[in-house]
Amino acid sequence: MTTLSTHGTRRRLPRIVGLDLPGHLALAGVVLFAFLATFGPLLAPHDPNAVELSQAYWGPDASHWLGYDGQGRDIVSRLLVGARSSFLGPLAIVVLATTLGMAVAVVAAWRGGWVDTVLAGVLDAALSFPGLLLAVIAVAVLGTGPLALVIALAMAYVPYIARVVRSAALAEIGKDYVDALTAQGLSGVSICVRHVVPNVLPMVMGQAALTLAWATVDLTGLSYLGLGVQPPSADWGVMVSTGQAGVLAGYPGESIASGICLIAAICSFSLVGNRLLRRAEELAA
Amino acid sequence: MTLLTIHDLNVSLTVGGGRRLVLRDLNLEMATGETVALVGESGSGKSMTARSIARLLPHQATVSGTIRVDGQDVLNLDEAALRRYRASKIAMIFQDPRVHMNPIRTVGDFLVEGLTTTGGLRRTAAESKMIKLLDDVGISDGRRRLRQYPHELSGGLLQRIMIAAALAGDPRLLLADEPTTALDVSTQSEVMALLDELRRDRGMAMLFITHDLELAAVISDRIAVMYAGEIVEVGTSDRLPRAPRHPYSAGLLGARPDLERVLPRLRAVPGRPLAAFEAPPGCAFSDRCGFAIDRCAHEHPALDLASAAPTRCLRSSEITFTSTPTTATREQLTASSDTVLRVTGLSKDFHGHRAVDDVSFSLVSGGSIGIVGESGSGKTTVARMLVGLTAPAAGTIEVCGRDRSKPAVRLAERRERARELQIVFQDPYSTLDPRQSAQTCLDEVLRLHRPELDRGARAARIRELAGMVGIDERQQRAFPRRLSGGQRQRISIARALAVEPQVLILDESVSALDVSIQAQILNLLDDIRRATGVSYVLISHDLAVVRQLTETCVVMRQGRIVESGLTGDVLDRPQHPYTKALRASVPAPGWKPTRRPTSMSM
Repeated sequence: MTTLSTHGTRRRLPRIVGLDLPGHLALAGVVLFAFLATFGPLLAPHDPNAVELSQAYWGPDASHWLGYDGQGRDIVSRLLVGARSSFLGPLAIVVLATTLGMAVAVVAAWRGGWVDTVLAGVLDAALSFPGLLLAVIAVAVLGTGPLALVIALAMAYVPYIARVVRSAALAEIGKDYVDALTAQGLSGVSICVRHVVPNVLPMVMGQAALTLAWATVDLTGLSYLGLGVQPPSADWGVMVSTGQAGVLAGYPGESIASGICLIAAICSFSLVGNRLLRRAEELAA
Repeated sequence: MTLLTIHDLNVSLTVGGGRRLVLRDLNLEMATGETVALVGESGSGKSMTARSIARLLPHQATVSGTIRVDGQDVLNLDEAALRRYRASKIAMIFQDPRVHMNPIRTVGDFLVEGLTTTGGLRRTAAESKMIKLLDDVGISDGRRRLRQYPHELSGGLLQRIMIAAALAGDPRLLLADEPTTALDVSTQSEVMALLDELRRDRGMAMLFITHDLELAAVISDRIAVMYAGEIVEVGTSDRLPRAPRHPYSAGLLGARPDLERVLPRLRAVPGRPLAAFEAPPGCAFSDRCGFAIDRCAHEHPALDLASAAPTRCLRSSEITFTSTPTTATREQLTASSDTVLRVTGLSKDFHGHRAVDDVSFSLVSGGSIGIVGESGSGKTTVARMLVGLTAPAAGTIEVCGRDRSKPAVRLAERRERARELQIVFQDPYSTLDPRQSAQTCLDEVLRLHRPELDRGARAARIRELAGMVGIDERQQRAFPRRLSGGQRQRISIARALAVEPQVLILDESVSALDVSIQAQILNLLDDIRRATGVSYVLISHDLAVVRQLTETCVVMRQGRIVESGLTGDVLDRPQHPYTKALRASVPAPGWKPTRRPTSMSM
């Protein structure tokens, strides 16, 4: 009778939290990008690397809907092919960071005591280290290319994931059912894997989608700076960068097209993340 | 003179696109200086009624009808008039004072804010006024209290401060929403006495909201019983608890365990309390009512406030409730029964403070022992040590003849112990994994402890357990969020019984439940003990529950056992002053709330 009768209404969860219109659009966006990242290269109407300098900066025609870039390559084909590296890089970062972050967080929350103190301290210290700087150092040590960046950025995002998951896991572990299962003789690993993790997963997924947006910004930013994916490979970040010459020459098509793709992708990821987190909060309430 | 008139009040809330009715055709009048108690279970709409009067409803609420307080049409006040109305005519106090205070501001900031902003007083003038008010609510060292923060003060003290804040505007009507539910019984009795004294001195009317009909009877002039958003019966506090007219009022009374005697069986109301939007079309109570006839299912009974005993029941003139108290005799278990649990010299420290100090008791096979105490008495720490969730600092625990003073290190040993002793917790909302249905939950436990059972045998055992605790097929497959508190508590009992333990610890396992559900679970626990011979350790602050379910009990205070013996003896002839005080704090017919030296609650 404690909290229940003061409010007069029983605690009830909404059945299916309906997504609003931006949520639906964002979800469609994420699905579209995943599709393009998988099948984009197959859909490309032309060879993305076929240089035809005589057609540099030509406008759109019947088979080249967005026209040609500074080296006479088909922009549509380059966008379609570039979707893969623009999507897979951040995805790899997020998968790595989430797996590692969740593992660290659940261990810290479950063990408590000095383990928690040490892990939480390390995470907080890592938070103060800028991810981009870490990435730049990684490139300096391991050379340019996406792999070094993915590893460095994944490490940089671990504390962001871990902090959120740790507090969610602590709340979950504080619930009576965890004590009841302990009293049943269930092992700590089973309780964490079978009960704690599935219950914090909605929260983790939301945080992961947000991280996907940030990682896209970081990775394309680094590609733009020439530290990530190297030209002539098609990549949206690279395209924004190589398109600059065209902007100065009065042909901004390539930069604008790849820029719009990036903005749409990032907005979709962060909107979906935001909606997932909102739902996770509702589920936890 | 009429102070409050509520006429045909209907309130619905918009939840997830749909409108949900929470208050239905509510009519109520209160005279100046009168105390009316609104009594009901979860979802009955009693808090909504108070919130409507204060116009503290959620934004998406749709309201129709009229509320007049002291001549003002409350539902049609503009913002400025509403502020003046709230500041001067009414005041509200809540169940948990702690959540209604800003933890980073001092008590003084909280108290003075209203006076300086709406009352137009200067800080020093406001402070001296508050110190006087604090004195009125029994806080003599007000000047010191003003400098303190909420976390430095006890719940009882904070509730007094809330009351002082409520009195600051000199309200005509005090809305008290379960103000003592979160408090220990002895503190409850002091706060009740204080409220009673203050409203008499000030000629203030009080709308007192509670789930406890006995408490309502001692504090109020009249009682209105609410069910599913409606008032189902109104009567004087002398008459209604003695001779209820509505089957639901009678059900509420019959469902409570008796402090004076062990009842053979609690008269539990079947089903669960409904909210207005879930109620059946005819009489809202018809699907739970033992007296319902066909007509009740279609025809919605009216409440005639002009009649002598207004009752929203089609059959109120035909039916009578007999309440001849019968006493069951608990068969005394002989000393020859095996001892299943023996605790000697158990102690535990928390941050250099002794939470449990030299606790010893024993329990015979098939017996039941109560551990009685208020918050901070150490009773839950004892439970956690018994289960092995916390290691004792000193002392021994012996279950079924085997020592388990230290928590088991090896997993196999922990499982071994789990089969001997299990626990059921208090909060039905956190006792189950939100992602597990009853079936998966029980299946997991069975796979752990009975690996020899195949899928079919486990399913059969799950059906057997579910049948024992009264969970049907559909409920077995449902996620916990689809189930009510009582249903969840049944599942957690089934989970504890799955391994057929010798000892079951019930840590306040029924105290979060509504009265009618509590009765069902208490009856269920009684049946289970008879059927399986399991022994209970019942941890509770509720003396009547302890009476109903246990043969022996110990009373704990500040970590120590102050009294122990047969439950009947301890409750009827308490020896220790603390037990006497506890016993005297329980509201019962003829009970007068008393104000004791304030030192006790601090």
